[in-house]
Amino acid sequence: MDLNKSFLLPHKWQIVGGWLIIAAIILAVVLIMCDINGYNGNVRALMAWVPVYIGLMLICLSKEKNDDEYIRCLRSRLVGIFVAIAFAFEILDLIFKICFINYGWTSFGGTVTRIILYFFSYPLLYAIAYIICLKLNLWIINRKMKKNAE
Amino acid sequence: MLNNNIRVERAIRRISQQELADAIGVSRQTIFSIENNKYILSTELALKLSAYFNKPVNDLFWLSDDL
Repeated sequence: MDLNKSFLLPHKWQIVGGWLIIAAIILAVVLIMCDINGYNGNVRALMAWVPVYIGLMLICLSKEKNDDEYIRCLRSRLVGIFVAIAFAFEILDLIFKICFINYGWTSFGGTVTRIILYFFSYPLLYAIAYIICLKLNLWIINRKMKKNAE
Repeated sequence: MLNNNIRVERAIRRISQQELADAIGVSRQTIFSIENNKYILSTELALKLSAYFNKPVNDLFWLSDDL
């Protein structure tokens, strides 16, 4: 595997992804407001989620404006952190399920715990958290640079 | 820990972080992180900096004793 080659898309795809998410939100609002006959709630929800997923994928898989080795390092570190968190919650989820089967629902935190575990096993959450963390890290370093220059 | 005197070399040449970043083809964040020991750079970038400052890599980067 040639690690010098990047499979990431050019930066412009990040902008396309952003617009796609905005368009999906508008589409979702329009579909809910219009209440088109023949469509049930699930179809409407799915129609809105498809561009959201594609938009998030484009943002996750495209380069930053000034993409270099530092940003690549930051990106790989964040991916590692989120993979570890995802595995931790999956393991917790499994333990919870085993406990539920053996000992019953309310013995191990009940519905709230189940909802939290379900929420953290949702892949979209990790994509959003990854994007936020990457942008936040870049914003923090930019702020530090500004402070340093003053 | 990897130490460096990029900041000193930059001050001698009176160039900004942005100018150095543009000259060697990286972002300003990278130069800032290297100068503040927040990021260990690649061999390729170390050689680029060495060529830019016209100094051996060992003069720009060295390992501290706490290894």
